[in-house]
Amino acid sequence: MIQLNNVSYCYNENDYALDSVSLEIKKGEFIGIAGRNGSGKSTLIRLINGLLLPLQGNVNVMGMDTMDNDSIIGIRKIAGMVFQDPQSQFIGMTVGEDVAFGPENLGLSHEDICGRVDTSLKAVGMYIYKDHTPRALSGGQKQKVALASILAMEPELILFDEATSMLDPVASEEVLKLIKQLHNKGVTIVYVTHRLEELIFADRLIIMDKGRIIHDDNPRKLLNEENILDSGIYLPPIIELSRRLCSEQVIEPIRLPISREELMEALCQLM
Amino acid sequence: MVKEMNSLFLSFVPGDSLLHRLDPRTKLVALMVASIYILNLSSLAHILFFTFLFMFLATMCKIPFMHFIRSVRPMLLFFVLIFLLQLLFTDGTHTFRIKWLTVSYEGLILGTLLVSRFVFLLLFAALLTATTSPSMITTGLERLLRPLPLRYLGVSSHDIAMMMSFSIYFVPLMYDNFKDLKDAQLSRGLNVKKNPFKTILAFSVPLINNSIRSVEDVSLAMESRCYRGTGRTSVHIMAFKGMDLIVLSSLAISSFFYLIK
Amino acid sequence: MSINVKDLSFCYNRGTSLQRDALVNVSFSIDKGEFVLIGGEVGCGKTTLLRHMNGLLRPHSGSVTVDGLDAGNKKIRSKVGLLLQHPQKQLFAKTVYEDIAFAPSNIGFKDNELKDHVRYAMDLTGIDGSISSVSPFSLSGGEMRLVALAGVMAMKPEYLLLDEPTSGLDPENRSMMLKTLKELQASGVTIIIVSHQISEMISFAEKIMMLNSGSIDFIGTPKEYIFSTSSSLQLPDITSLMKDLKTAGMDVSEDVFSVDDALLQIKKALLNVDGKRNE
Repeated sequence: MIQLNNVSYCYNENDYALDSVSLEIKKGEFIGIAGRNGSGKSTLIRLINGLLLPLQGNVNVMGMDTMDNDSIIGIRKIAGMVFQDPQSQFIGMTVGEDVAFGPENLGLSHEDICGRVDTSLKAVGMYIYKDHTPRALSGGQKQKVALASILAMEPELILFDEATSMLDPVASEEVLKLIKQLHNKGVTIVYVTHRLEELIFADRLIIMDKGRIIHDDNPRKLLNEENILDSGIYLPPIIELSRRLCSEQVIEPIRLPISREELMEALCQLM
Repeated sequence: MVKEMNSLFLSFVPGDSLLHRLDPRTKLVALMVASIYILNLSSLAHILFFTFLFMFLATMCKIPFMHFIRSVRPMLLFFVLIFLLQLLFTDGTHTFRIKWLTVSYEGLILGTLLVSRFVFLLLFAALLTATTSPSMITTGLERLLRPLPLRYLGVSSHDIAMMMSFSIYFVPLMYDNFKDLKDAQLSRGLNVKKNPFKTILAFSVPLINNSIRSVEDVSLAMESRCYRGTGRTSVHIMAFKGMDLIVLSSLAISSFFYLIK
Repeated sequence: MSINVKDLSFCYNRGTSLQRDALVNVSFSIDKGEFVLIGGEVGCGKTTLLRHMNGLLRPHSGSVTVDGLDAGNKKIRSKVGLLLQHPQKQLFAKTVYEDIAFAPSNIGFKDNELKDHVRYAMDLTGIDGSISSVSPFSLSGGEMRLVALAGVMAMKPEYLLLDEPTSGLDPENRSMMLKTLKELQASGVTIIIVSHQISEMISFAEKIMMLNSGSIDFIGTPKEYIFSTSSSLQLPDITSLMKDLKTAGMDVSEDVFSVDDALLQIKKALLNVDGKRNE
């Protein structure tokens, strides 16, 4: 579905934010991308929907090149993006108007726009706030509206740029649950975060450092790697505990428990 | 936090009056025509006429007068100032003294006329904003501008409408930002009276910085939602109804007589 | 020496149709040198409470006193530092040094005394002297936040109030921020943190207070908090795991916050199980 071939990008001269990265994303995948600040993860996904254009290499979205000016709208229609700050991605004065912004840009008819606004607001459970001003909503509610406004464009792929990092744990969990539901319906997801615990169920976990992809594998396999910490990544305490219990042979190191429930199960078997 | 801004300056008051139901384009055209008349206001009779017109319209849209007074209040100091300037610096034939001041009747009338022009402009603008949601105003404006050959200036009517709605949208955001900044800088011991220059810096630099950052963020969000400035449709339907035609034709007739007079 | 809050009530938009209670009869005290966490959901009144403790807001009824002085007294502004949410948004000066010097120069310090205050703040927050002449806007998000913290510490406050000090930071910067705050406490500063995400800070605290719709829902030590039935209980994953293991019958203690302690406890408990099995 998406191919990046030897893509490089830099904001300042000779300071590569992305250094010759190649990546293929298949339809229907859930891809998690983690890495410390400045590792290039946000740059990578901004290249996918053409918000940034590669200095070298090329990015191909369903047969369209992001460098091609005529296909850029087509690409952004396929690949929607939810940003980190819940406040600064609002465009409309009311929740409903904000969700309508994308479909309006696509030139849809009045009936189609209203239909899409209602369906996508209902999908995230924010329909009752349709006529409210976004300013009065909580961070979690704002992110749900941001998700709805992407859904209204009926994308096949949604890119999330640390979309839960400013939310409290309860709200993050709710947003993540919505994202999983979308994935189950067949939407391809690329999810950037620095909370690894949010990525344990992903199909593929990509770890980035200094503008390169240094790991790209199944999360369970990857989290069991000896050298994973070299990337400066921060492991969630539960996974760290699992790894140490495994390395000290307290639990069988064959299948690393990667969630609290799994670790609990593994330990209970020992009693 | 509940936003006190909601009840302030030039804000929208939802309702279902005749004025609320008029097409925004009709109201925009009416405001434009009214502004021309108001700027040419030249006698006390005119003032009386506009006072009655305003009272009539304000009563019709069932919005408390207090709302409109609030729209004028922030400019009060400015009004007093221009009134005094006219009063004191207009030479006239009929003069009289109030204690040590010499004022002329001409000055008094000129001052009154000038101030009432500003006041009526504000009041009628407030009438538009109170009865029309901001997004309807911008959509209406976009439609009115569409026939203009704006593309030779490198913008589209959508661009102008977007810019307008952003300025409306950013004011409350900047206000929130300003309140937080005030608390932050006061907590750092800022003494507004003792150090006015530093105060200006301590507020303006972060305010501008944060605004630029949010504009950048918003433009990214717009781009990724396929905004290109052209070929946009709208979630709002614009349709002239019977009442719009009546209002527009009466505006046309009155302008005709105004011009040939 | 302490902050005393007594029967504090406050509402927004008083006397209008939008009137809304933010705090209702809140009473508590914070001793000097403590590390206090104030938690609760968005809109529970915790930020409003914070702004009362350095006099930015005045109570509608009740009182707030700092070391015996009323919080409305201007003198307490330099005694009680406040760092608001996203403090990087308050930076404005040309250089890091000037920004940190803003607060002490407002209070009236000059020359060497001013330098002393800035140096003190930079040392405490671990800001490298080499960046003192660069623009604060060229720094990373985590560094900007430390500069803003130093900007408050330069007043040498005895109490430090913080609103969501770790929100939006990555794990590396979050633990750096918390470590810095713990060091501040070690140097004698009372730390009072308001956050909706308290779980990762519980192990640092001495007192935890939970607010719910403007009233105190829970107040006590971290240990009491772990065992409390507070509706808004938020525990670190490790602590939750230990609680679950205990419920499942494993002989571990529940007030465990670090991976090291958890590992020790689990190994010990499992050894005992093996021992019993062998007997």
